[in-house]
Amino acid sequence: MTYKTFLIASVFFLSGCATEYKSLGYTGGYTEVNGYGNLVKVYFLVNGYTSREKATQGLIYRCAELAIEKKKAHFVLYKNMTDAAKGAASALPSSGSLSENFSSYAYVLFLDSPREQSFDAHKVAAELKPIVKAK
Amino acid sequence: MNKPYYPLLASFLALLPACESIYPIADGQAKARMKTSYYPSICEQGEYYKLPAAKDKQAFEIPANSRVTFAVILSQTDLGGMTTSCFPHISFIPKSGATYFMEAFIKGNLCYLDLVREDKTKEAGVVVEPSIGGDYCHSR
Repeated sequence: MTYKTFLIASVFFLSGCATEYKSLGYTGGYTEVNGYGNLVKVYFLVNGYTSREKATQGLIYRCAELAIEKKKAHFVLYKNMTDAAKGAASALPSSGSLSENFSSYAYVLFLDSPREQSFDAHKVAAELKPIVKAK
Repeated sequence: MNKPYYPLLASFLALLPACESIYPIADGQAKARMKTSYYPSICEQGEYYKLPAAKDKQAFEIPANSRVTFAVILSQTDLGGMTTSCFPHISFIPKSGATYFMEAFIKGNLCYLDLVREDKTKEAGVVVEPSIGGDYCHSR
């Protein structure tokens, strides 16, 4: 966790170009941390040249990618671990900012079947791919 | 306190853990594990201590079966350049052998500590852990 925390922090200091959809690098991107029970904490960080909306879209698209990789058809987002423990899913991720940079993050639970507030991974991937991967 | 002093306060607070010694957990003492991406301090008898790492380096070790207070240093600067810094405290009674996850975040200029206990029988793998706020250590 410590290495990823350092990398996330470094994004806030090293920026210049708009954030592209890719794994976390100096201009931002996505990363995830396992180990919170069955939850995965997924981040999408963007710099000051990229809109907040792009961070949210990138995060939800990354969750869909992970669900498909894990052969799960659905996923739910939780804004924090306490909400996850209560089963209080959210339609949107959490967000934070540091200087001109912005991060979107959520605790994600991957599911086999749909439920209230869940996302259909394949549908999300199809809808958001042209948006998040647009140059 | 005037806002321009916040970054200075945050810098000062960030240096504090370096001054702390590691909390001594005796062999045979009841203990639990805490996983977090922060470096929390534990308050014991009016002093802050750093938490010792577990042998597998995947978590911190914490004393169990009595109420303990933890604190985390947080600082965040928003798009307008306003910095929010805080030193939130939380206290709870760790159960011997249990694993806890704790994260911290700032929302709306307020600081939060997010604490749950691992429970592998639950779908999300975590359950709510009852907790209350904790006093500043040096004020006791």
